[in-house]
Amino acid sequence: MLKDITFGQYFPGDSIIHRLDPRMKLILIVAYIVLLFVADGLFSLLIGAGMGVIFYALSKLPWKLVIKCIKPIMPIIIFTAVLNIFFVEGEPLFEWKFISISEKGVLTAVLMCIRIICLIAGSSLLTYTTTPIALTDGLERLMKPLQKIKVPVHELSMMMTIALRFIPTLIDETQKIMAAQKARGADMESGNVIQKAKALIPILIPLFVSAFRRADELALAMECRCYHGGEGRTRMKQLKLSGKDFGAALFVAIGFAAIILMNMFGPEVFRL
Amino acid sequence: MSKKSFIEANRISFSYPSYEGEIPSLVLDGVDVSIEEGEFVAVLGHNGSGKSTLAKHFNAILVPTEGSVSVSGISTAEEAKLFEIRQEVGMVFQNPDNQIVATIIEEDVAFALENLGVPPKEIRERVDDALKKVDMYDYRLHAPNQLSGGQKQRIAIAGIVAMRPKCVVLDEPTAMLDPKGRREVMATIKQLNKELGITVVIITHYMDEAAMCDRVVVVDDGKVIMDSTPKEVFGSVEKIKERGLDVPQVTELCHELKKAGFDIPDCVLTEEECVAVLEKLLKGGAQNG
Amino acid sequence: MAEIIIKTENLSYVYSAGTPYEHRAIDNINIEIEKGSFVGLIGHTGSGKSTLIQHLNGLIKPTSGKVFVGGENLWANPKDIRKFRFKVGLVFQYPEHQLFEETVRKDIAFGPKNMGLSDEEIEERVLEAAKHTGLTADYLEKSPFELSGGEKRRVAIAGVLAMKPEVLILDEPTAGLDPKGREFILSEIKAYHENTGATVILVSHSMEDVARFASHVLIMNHSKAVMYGETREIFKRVDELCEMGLEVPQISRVFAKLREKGCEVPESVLTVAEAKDAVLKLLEKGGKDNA
Repeated sequence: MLKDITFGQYFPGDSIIHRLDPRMKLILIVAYIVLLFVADGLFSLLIGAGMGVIFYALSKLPWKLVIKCIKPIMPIIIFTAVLNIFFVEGEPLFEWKFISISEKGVLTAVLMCIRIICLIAGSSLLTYTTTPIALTDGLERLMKPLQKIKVPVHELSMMMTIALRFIPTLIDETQKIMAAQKARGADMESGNVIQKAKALIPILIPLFVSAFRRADELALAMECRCYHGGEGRTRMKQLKLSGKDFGAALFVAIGFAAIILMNMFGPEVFRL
Repeated sequence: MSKKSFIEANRISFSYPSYEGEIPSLVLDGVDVSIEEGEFVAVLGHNGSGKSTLAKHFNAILVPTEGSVSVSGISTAEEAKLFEIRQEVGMVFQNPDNQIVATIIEEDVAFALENLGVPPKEIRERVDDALKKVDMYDYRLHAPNQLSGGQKQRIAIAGIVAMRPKCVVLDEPTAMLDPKGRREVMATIKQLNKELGITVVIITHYMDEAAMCDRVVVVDDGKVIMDSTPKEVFGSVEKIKERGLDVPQVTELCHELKKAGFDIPDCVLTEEECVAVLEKLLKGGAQNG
Repeated sequence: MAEIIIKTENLSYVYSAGTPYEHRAIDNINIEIEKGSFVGLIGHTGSGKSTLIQHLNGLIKPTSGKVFVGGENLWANPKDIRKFRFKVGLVFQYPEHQLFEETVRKDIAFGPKNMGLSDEEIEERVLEAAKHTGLTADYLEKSPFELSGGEKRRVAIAGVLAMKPEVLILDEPTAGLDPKGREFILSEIKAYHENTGATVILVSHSMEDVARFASHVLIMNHSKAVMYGETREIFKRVDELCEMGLEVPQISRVFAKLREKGCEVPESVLTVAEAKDAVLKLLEKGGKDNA
């Protein structure tokens, strides 16, 4: 169960999507999300979904990854759909006692579902095709202007990097500690909520102690390697925007324009 | 001409800051050690003897409360020269997991150079070079948690080697490794010294590792109690055992036989030596001579 | 024949079955361990040692095959699995990383408490376990976090001993300790074994330690149990062990080489003391022959 944290997991590859500049990918994903919300009807939203499909195809990742990232949020999707179907008021399609389902409700539900799925699949594609370090790197560089207003951009990205580095280590450690406490007869499955919370103490305390010890040692090792904050720091890997980045930007821009046009001049059916 | 040693610890004492009212206990008590360029030195001592504290003085992680330490003639108390010192004397620690910063091997090896503001192109060259030196170039795009303990430790060494230091101090680099990992890491360390001419100071409590070095410094209770060649240090089997340390099995056997009155050389350190000595003894009947 | 305390039948375990990461961690293990023996378990990292020992107290459920402790099938009734955790005490690597209570006393009491024992019984067991690990009374009220590394480890081991397990399994109990600390822990384990008659399984990379303490040796290689037998018999097979890349005691290697060179030294020499005796005996005999 602990190892099922797939959201934010990188799948190595050499596709055009993998090779895009992380900064561009970040900007484009933001644009994509905005675009999903700008789309106000089924047809314009389908353009958005189509863009998502094209991006996935270009990434050459197995399609089952889409299902994999949507699975954990399935309850949210269903919940949203049910909520919209039953509670959006409008011309009733179907009525039974106090339940009434309107056409508008069904349409809203469908649109919301597509939106959420595209949103999650889109951001997952970002993390599937970008190493966490490239991602933090891209974020750091994008946010660099914020340094002028005293936002500790470098420190934040360093923290991110270290967190990413140590998550697998700490997951391993948690499993080891759990096994060790179970070996001393710790019972983590039975009992009520309070008992279960109490049963976590023998796991959490050693985990924290170990995390602090690791932090201490890591700080020392970083000091030995002359770490002194972001000032005067260079990077081995330089980011350079290339043709394919501009191509991708152009593609998203065209999609954006198409959606706006569809909103303005498209057929008046299936609209909110 | 009196040439100054590369690292020179001059009568250093050290105690950690203590709470009010507590008497600070001396971790180091008047230690005099000097290390020459190109040496391969082992520092031996049991846990709590002060050997790690001593090592942390060599690259200005700690500054002595009394006495002074200099690296290439620069005092470690000079804060303005801190990065210069740490570049010359790199340090590797016990737990390989806790010294790797980045999520990709090559990014980690580049870490120190990025901190030092080296131009990107040069970083690339030096990172590739360092990875090749520890024989981990093929793993440059792996994540740290895909590697074995020995491999991770070699990456940690590469991260230091990339700084092109004159000296590497290793604090029990093999304590958490399995025998295979230990062999790998020791081979890498030996190569640093023999092929690249890097001065190596290795803190350990494995006697076979110390036996590989040119010089052994034994620390006990915050003091240097022996400082000599491995042959001489391990030759005093009783003294070493008294301090809670060990000697290689072959050394102990030959020492025991010598005590029983046989004519065998003073200190036997390696298996080959021991086999030769015993063969002669058994076939030649050394005692009738 | 002595009573069998632990028995495995065609025991196998597969990690991440059905994925590309599928890995058979242990493969068809059949062993029988006699009650009261001291078994050294040796193998490379990744040879399946850790997976095997976690089957013996039911932390891992086998993919196929069976485990018996004292003749009882571990998984006959999965609800009862916890009782085997008390019968088979398992001390993990770096056990001091699992300490969590405010005082040493409370931490040692964690196991007995989980067993549902009375307060008096718990207290008695804590004191006894502390004694086994050389912890004096003034340690009991201290916080485990202010102790030295070696002391912490003793507390952690005491926490398992307090459950009075019939079988005590230790995964590299001396890793990272200095020679003095190693010696201390090993002699405490040996004393516990002798005084209580408990069966001990010691997982170790150090053949030297295993040679000194174990009555039997189990060798794991590539997920299989490749050798099991009395220590002396196993260490006669120096060449095979070396071929597997295992660290044979230095002294055993020296004596194997001497035999190659035609010296009539005994086949399996495990410790320095034995080596010395062997050499002395040979020289005495040789001396008489010459005379």
